[in-house]
Amino acid sequence: MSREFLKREPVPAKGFGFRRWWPATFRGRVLFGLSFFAGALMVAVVIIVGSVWVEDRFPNEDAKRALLPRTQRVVTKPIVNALSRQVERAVRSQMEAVYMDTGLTIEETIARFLDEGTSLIERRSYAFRLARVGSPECIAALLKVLQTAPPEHKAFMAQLIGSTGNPAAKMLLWPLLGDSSEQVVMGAIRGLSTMPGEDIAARIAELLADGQRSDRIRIEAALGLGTIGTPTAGTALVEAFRQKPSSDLAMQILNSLGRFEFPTVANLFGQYLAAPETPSGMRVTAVEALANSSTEAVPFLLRLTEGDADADVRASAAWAISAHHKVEDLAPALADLAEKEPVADVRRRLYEALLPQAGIPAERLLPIVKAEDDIAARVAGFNVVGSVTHQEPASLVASAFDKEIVPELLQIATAPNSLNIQMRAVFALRRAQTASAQAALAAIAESARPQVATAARNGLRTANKQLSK
Amino acid sequence: MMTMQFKTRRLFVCLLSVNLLWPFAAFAASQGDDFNDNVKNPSKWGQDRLFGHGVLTEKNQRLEYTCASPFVPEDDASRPWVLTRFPYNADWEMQIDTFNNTLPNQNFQVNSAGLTIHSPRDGDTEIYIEMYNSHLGGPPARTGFNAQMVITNENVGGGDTGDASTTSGALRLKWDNTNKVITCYYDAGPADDYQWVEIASFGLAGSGGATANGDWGMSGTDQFSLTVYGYSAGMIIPSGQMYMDNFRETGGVTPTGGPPPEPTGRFPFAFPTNNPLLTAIINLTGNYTGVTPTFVANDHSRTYNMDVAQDESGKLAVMGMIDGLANTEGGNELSGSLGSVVTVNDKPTVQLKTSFTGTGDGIPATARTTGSSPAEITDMGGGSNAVAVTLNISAKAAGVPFRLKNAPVMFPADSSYEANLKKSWTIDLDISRKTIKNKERTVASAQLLLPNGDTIAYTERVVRYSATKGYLLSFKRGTNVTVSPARIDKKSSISIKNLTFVQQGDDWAPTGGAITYQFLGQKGTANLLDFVSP
Repeated sequence: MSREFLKREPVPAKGFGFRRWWPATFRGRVLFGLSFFAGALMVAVVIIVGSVWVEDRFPNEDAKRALLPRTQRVVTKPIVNALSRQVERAVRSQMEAVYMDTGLTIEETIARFLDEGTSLIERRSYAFRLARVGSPECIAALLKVLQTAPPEHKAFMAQLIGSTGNPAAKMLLWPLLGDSSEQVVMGAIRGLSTMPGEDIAARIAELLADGQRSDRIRIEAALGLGTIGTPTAGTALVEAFRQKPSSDLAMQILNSLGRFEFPTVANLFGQYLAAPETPSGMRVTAVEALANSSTEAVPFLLRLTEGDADADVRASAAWAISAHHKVEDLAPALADLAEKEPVADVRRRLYEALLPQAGIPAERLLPIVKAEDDIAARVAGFNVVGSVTHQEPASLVASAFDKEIVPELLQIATAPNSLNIQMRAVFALRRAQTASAQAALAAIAESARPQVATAARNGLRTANKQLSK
Repeated sequence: MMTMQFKTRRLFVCLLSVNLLWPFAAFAASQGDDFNDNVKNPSKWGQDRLFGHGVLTEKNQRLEYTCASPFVPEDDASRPWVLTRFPYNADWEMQIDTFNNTLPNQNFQVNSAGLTIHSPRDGDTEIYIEMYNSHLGGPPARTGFNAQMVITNENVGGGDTGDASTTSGALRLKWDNTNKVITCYYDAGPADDYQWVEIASFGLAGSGGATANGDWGMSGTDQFSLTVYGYSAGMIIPSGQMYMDNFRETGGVTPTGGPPPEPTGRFPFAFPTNNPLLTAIINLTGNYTGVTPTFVANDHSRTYNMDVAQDESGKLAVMGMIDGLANTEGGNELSGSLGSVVTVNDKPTVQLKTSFTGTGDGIPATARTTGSSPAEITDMGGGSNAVAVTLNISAKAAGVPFRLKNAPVMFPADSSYEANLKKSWTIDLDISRKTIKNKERTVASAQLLLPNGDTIAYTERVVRYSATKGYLLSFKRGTNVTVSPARIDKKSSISIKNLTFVQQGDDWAPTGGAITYQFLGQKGTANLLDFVSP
């Protein structure tokens, strides 16, 4: 391109030139500026709200649901992430307020923490604030008290210090791992495992692998690695499990591995549960550990509930399913299993797993529930029927609940019976919230033993509150 | 499996030994059992004492120990030799062949079989010799021979070969009346002939033993008694992997005096709730009220009111309300599973797992909370108590997601917490004599009163008292008689090992025992004497 072109005189803009819109008067310019600011603010709000709406309904991290993955990753996701961080900060700050907002300055806190004239029970909670602030003065005060504190207080403070999540506080906890008191070492593990850092996972993994350490310390290390939940922690747990540890330690390792994303531990759990030499009690532990895993575990748990030869394992698998609240489309499958299941204990757990589900086929379940001989299974079934009654007050199930089940629940709650069963009978009535259920609750509130009567009163109060709305 | 040819050779060797090598023993009576008839001979062997799932069976022309499913912490079966006893004032000896081809492959797995000589004076005093196979402490599994002397429940010394790398062996005990010394021998390869190697010797009158000495307090006409036993910990022992054979004794005499009296009576035991060193079992069923200072709204704490039910497996269900929260239908009633209570490192621990969908102060919200916390109230000083929990929260408020990892939450624990955290429980044992099928037997029943007020009744079962090991009691699958209609409780069990007594006038008082208890989803072990009221 010729440079002569660049030297040409600019041609004044016609039609849409900025100057044509710029107000001539000062007042006009102020008004223009305010309007522009308000418009920009509105656009920002729309973008933020829109981003939240989009990410809520079409989350970017869910490849199947994301609308425009690339755009969302660049625009909406960062906005929502920034908001999330602010909310997290605010909620955490509220949670920590009990330790942080004491009305004392940091100097006063240090002075009180070091005041040996006051009992350590009174002083030890200050450890949280000092570790959170983490200034040299705070660390020095913590070191001083930790040197002389009795083991139970040292362990308590170690856990508090760790729960601040302040990496600077690590140096306070490392030495405690070598403390002569088992209680202190366990407190230090608990504290460290709530702090970030791969160095922590590696150190705790060493404790788990150390056969010279007591089982209690190794169990605490397994627990800690489950809390840490990083790949390093997972590898250490798997490795320790392969060493065939004592049954108590193996149970804790399984519990901790159960907290990992299911695809990462599926093989291990699958093989362990399939192995004929695995004792029944350990299989139950393994299955229940999956209550804390990701929702991908649910199909695996369903298969166990359906096909495992051991009724205890089937019951545990059903219970573990009930802990996966996020999965709400299992009602037909669970109802099928309840129809086929021969053992009352397993059916009880299936009824419990049905409670948070949507679309419960209550009419199919009602005859099975009414035929239950086992009182625990029967009351668990009544809870499901009560829940459906509330959702479908005009249904046949609701009618059956009012006519047949309410009198029985009233009788269970007021005649001599186990406290656990009576409480759950009251829960069933509270779920239904029909007039006859309310009347039964009123009768229970008058005549049942104290805890059951209180539970009934609480149900009535909650229902009344709702009516007053 | 031992062949007939091998058995014939063994018999020949035995005859040769008796006739040529032990000429002086020819005057003493010689007895034994080659187990070839595959039937337990009641004139030779008394009733088996079983603990857990260990079983001794005479089959395949030998005495086999098997365990179909391991019982925690261990399984044990012993069979008393009743044809003769062994005099304190004359020489005697005995021997038995052993075989162990088991496969312990976990660090808690071990097993053994052998002979135990019991003191007639003290139920907790004995000498045993055994062939074992152990994986304790790590691989590889080791077979070896071990002999120990135990005086009043205290191991005073013994000998161990370490890994002998053999599957066949033989054990021998020899009493030297002159010096009052028992010498223990083993043979790690008895296929050809017995090549006895001394492993330990014990002086029973305070001296003479090369390994250990003790005073058993025995005199002239006292008689030792004998049991053969099998033992395993944490493992299945199939048929054919562990057995004994060719038991033979020389010098045994007709037992004098009747069997020792078996302790009977009613024995109440109560868990000492004020002993922090013991593993408590917690019941959380009840009503909880308070404020949540960590979830403030408009600068005021939210109140909550929760009713909790804990079942026999420790699983928790909850219903209640928290100020400002509403369920999906706009109601205040919140409900769901709360998680479970389990024992972690000897402490009752609540493993929380809750979920919420609804609104918080009118804003759509969801939350999933997990956490773990010892079920205990912490003294915060200044007269206030709290329950400290570390929570992981994954939530969404008005569509904005947020996560909190390991957030410290302090719930002030008011009087409702102290009223509901129940940990007192009792077990009442009833041991009595009863005629069953024309024979007088000792039977034991029990009633377990749980911290939640439920009573589990365990029906009578025949038990045997061993002067050495006391009673071994195992109560499982009792009936919850508080529940109406009553139901079998498979989740509650009590086992008591080595329950020994001393007679005080007409009554018996417990002198030892280890209790393992498991109910409400939790478990613990303790010294039973801690449960005895002073």
